[in-house]
Amino acid sequence: MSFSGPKHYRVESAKSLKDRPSVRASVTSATDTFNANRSDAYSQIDSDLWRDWARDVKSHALTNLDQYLEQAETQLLANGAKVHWADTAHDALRLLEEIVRDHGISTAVKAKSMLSEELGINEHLEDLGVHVRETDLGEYIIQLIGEPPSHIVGPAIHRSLEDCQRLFHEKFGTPLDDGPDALAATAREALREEFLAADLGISGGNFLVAETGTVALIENEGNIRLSTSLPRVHIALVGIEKIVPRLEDVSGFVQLTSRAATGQPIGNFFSLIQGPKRDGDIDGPEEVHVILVDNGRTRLLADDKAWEALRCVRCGACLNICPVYRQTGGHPYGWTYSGPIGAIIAPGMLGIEEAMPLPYASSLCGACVDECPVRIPIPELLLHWREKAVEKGLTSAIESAGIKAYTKAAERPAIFRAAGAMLRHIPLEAGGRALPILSDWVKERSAPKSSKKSFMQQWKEGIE
Amino acid sequence: MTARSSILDRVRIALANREVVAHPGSFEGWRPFMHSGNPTEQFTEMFEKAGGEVVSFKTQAEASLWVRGFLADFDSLSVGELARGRLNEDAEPDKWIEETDPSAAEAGASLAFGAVAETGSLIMTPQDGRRAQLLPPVHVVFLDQAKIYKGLSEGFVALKNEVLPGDNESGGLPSAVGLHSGPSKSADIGQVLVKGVHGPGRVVAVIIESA
Ligand code: SF4
Repeated sequence: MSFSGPKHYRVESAKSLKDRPSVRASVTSATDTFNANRSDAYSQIDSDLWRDWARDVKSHALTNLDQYLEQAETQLLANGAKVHWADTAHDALRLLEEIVRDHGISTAVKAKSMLSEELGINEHLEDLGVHVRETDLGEYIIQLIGEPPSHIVGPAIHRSLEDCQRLFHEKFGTPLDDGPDALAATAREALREEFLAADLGISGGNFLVAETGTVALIENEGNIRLSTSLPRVHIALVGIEKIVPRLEDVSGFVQLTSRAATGQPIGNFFSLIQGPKRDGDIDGPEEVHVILVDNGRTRLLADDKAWEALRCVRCGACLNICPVYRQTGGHPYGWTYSGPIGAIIAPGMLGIEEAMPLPYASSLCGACVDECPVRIPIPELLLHWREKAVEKGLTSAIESAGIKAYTKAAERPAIFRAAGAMLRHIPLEAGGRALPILSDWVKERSAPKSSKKSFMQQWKEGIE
Repeated sequence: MTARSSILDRVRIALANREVVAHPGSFEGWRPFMHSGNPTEQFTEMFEKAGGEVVSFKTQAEASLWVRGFLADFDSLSVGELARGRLNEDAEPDKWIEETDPSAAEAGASLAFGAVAETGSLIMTPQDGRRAQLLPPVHVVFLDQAKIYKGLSEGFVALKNEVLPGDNESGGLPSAVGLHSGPSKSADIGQVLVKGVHGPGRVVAVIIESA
């Protein structure tokens, strides 16, 4: 169920394109919908102003991160929550294990959390003998299939309705022609029992508010509210970069993130969790544990350029618009975070050697930077990592020659933009015609690049 | 060295030579639609757009009567602690349905702390009971019109200022707050929109115009 690392990216994308054409169809259709909804939602607001504001709040929080983390901790403790710190995935799993042992936990329900994927929570819980159930409908589907998520917002977008019909038919004996409503009702019934029986609820956290010690969570299904309300223990896994200073800041972030992710003014359910059940509450968890996780984040923070990637709110907009991601979905990237954001945080969090060749999994078309709600300069950071790769001798001579020219232009934004615009009009490279799917891809969003051995060539090499 | 101190140390080292970015101030004045200035209209428009339903009554008595009529169509009901008084204010109807645990109820009735016009959100607190707000497939929510706030920030301020019973630890915020801005929904199966996955598939806001 877990990823094998980015190094097989080329082979895996080639395989996906060749052997699983339905993935491309499903991902393209889902991301088209995400894109249309987001454009519409952005057009209703002054999205430039919102995004400048969001960029600055996040940069402010990150450049004062130590103070805000301490403030959040103090406030959470005052609220009656327990706070833990985890240097690494290993630490986080150990903390989880302690809580599981202390409370005699045998069943857990999980609300979608990319951090829990990153840490390998499910496998570890199963090793401990805990029955763990994903409750987000998309996560549930892929848990039943036994594969990892392929998108940070829509984990099962690579799966078609037919895939789900077959899956439910095999698992529950539902008719093969059951529509989405009937399938969802089947899932609701099966999962409801698990919600009511679970000892432990596990969630992530979209934001952690320093001022109030609030873990804030955006969703549409209600499974996050259930996972954090019904079981007697709730564990929230929160990356240290999720800090925002004030509760008032969240009023902006929940709206911008919802618009960027799904085009909604706000997710239909938004949870603000301060701590465990108190006197006067009718119900709620007896214990709330917040695990603050580093696992490579301070390493990324230490990079003078790439630290800006920690502003990411995981909306998925850069994946949806990316002509490269759209061909294969997230699996070939071999890591929890795929697409443009995955390609710029992997080198910082895992180390550039481990992250290769992800900084090259891009045409540098720049579409993502126009959509990012927190204005992360994704193409510049891709170039930044390519430069590091060249320095470390991780690339071939052809690639390094190309990248140097491109990087030079990129240092001066005006030239970079002009070059980007121009490049979009360069005719199809011969390589693109070698595979019909690839030439479609290039046509879809002409995505040529000057820097490297062409992306298409890399793909072809993967096939060979 | 504890993980806490090693993480904070690494953060400080990383930030040692980094220029500190100033906080840009309040998220104000960039509201999506500068609405008519009528928060109730704005709330209604947004809530309905997200798939919720809204009905409005002049008095609590009228609202209670309507809700009891609406609920009479169901076989079982769970009532949030705060909503209880609102339901019983009116005379008993001829026939009343059985009250049951939220996990078995066909419908649930709650009282919202308030609502947010800008996003079309009901503000739900744990004093009412989270299970009653989440488990029944149909959720009916009383809402006092005077407590429909223009924006999320105003709603949060109201929550913080209004210290709720049993709440004295977190600057006035209850242990958990849920904003409900429409029915439970998902498009995870074949990208087709489905309502009522996990949470209530039908949510009705019942606005009381005068307290
Ligand atoms: S990098 Fe920007 S666009 Fe991509 S997921 Fe993060 S916030 Fe969204």
